[in-house]
Order: sequence, then structure tokens, then C-alpha cells
Amino acid sequence: MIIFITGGVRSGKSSFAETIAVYYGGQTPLHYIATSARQDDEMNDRIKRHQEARRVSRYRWKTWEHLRNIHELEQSIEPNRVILLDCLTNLLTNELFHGWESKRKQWLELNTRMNIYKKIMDGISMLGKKNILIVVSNEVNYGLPINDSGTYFFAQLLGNLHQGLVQKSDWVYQVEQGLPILRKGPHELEKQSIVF
Amino acid sequence: MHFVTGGAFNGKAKWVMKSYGVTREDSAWFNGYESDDFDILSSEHALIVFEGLEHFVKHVIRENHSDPKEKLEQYLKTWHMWEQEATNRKLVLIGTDIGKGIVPINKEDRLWRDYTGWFYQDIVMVAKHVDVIWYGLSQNLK
Repeated sequence: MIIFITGGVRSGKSSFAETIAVYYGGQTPLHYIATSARQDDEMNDRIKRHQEARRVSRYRWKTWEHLRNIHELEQSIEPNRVILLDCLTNLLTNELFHGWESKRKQWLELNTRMNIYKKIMDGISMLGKKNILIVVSNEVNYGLPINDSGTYFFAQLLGNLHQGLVQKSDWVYQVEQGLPILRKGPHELEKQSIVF
Repeated sequence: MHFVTGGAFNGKAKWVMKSYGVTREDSAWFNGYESDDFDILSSEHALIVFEGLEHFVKHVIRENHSDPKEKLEQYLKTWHMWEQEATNRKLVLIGTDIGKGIVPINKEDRLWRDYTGWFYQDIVMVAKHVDVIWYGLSQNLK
């Protein structure tokens, strides 16, 4: 089962996602896929804070620091567990800009972008097959269009991933100011592939 | 008139293609992202789709009219009249919501955002149907 949760920055989407994780899997070890790259002290502090919060919580969290290639985790997690992926925007950033120092502007190639789309969607499908996968993502596409190519293609890919996920997911929530709005429930399962 | 809006890359055009059974390749589909051909009423078709309304707004602003808002209202009036002339005519307008970000630093972008927002409000008044598309899911507002 796949549950997809989006919302703006600091909308309370992560807390909501954790509540759902506990609801479904509070009695079992909960799996957390952490996607933030440890680039600076600010990020390190945030990671530490999140880790500490999960450590002192009443539930057993197992953290996987996995910046890319989430499909690899399928081997490591036993079935019927709850997996929380937080968040898709980080994962996409890591995949799209990986190795940019040596391979400049790889995001300009449609093929590269399609492969990344497929890799992420496949990874999500794999993890959601035997487990309850909760995917958290961010709303970013509501401002003026951005001309910088990297940002433009990031926004486009993220939008496409969100469209694909909405179709693939059993439950879709949009969180506004801490309040979840149900956008899709299991009654309207409709699965289609995304056309670029 | 049917107004379809929502954020960028949310599947608005895809939704219109599916709902109306048309494609971007049709001659009745005007794409504001790829061309400056905004003479949509020159088309012979009864169903016209106009995608990228926000670019049309930018285009009108750049023409330096004394009052772009009024100019846009005139366009809307013409489109509406065209639709009224025959019962089978329909105009589907697709406009990206560009108004929910940080206030832009440069003035042209600020104006672009403002005029686009006002134009969309005017369109909503005239349109018979309004849908907001959110990653492929539609929400009917009117």
C-alpha cells in the first residue's frame, strides 16, 4: 500500500506522516528512510534533532540513511512493515544533481530525466508492494516560473512524480497548516502511466 | 467557456486532453508556451483550447497598452462573444496559477503576476465551468 502526503514547508506533513506510520505499525519496528545530505552544520543539527525525537519516542524506529537508490532497501526490510520516506524532494535533488561536478548539466537530457523518473517510481512501487509505504513530499510549483534550467527541470520532474504518485497511491493527503485534507481514498483507484 | 487552472506541472493540459478528446497537435490547440500566435478566433473549429494563458498576459503587458487590464478584459469579451455566436462553440482556457510564490524582486514579474491574477478572476466570472487540477485530480469550483 502506498500513502502519499504533500504540503508546504512547515505545514505539519511530517508529523502527520509519523502519526499514520504509528497507526499502521506502532507494534512493529518502523522504518525511516532519511534522504538529507549531511552538507553543513545546519543540516547536521536538524538530522540530530529528528533522530533524537525518534529515539525517545515510544516506538521503535530504524533509520536508513539512503540518499539515492531507494529500491536497494527492498532486500533489507522484511515484509508487512511500515516504511516512511521523508522526503521525495530530497530524493529527487540527490538523484538529479548526483555527480554534477563531473557531468555538467546532465538534467538537460530528456533521457536522464526519464530514467530518474522511472528509477524513483520503480523504487516506490517495489517498497510499497509488500509494505505500507508512506511518501512525504513538498509543494513547490505555485510561484512564478523559474528560468534556471536545473530548477525548471527539477520542478517539472517533481510535478510529474506527484502526478504519478497520486495515481499509484491508495491514499493521498494534502496537509494545510497541520490539517490533513483527503484528496484520494481507496474507492477511486485509477492506475495510468505518465506521458512526458 | 471552461477555465482550467492549477500549479505548474500538475497535469492540466493532460486533463483537458482526456476530458475533451483533443491533443496538442490539433490545429484548434493554441500553445502559449511555444508560440506568440494568440489569434485564437481565426480558427475554424468549434472547440478551441488555449494553453499558457499566463504567457498571453505577459504578451499583452509587453505591448505597452495604457491599461493592460482593460485590454485583457476586451479580449475576454471578444472570446465570450465568439462563443455566444453558435451553440456548439466552446473555448477551453488553461492558465497556470503563478500567484502563490514569494513577491518577485523585479517590477515586470510583479505586474505579470498581478495582471494574471486579475485576468483569471475575470475569466472565472464569465466561464461556465472552472476546474482546479492538482496532480491530475480535478476539483470543480464552478
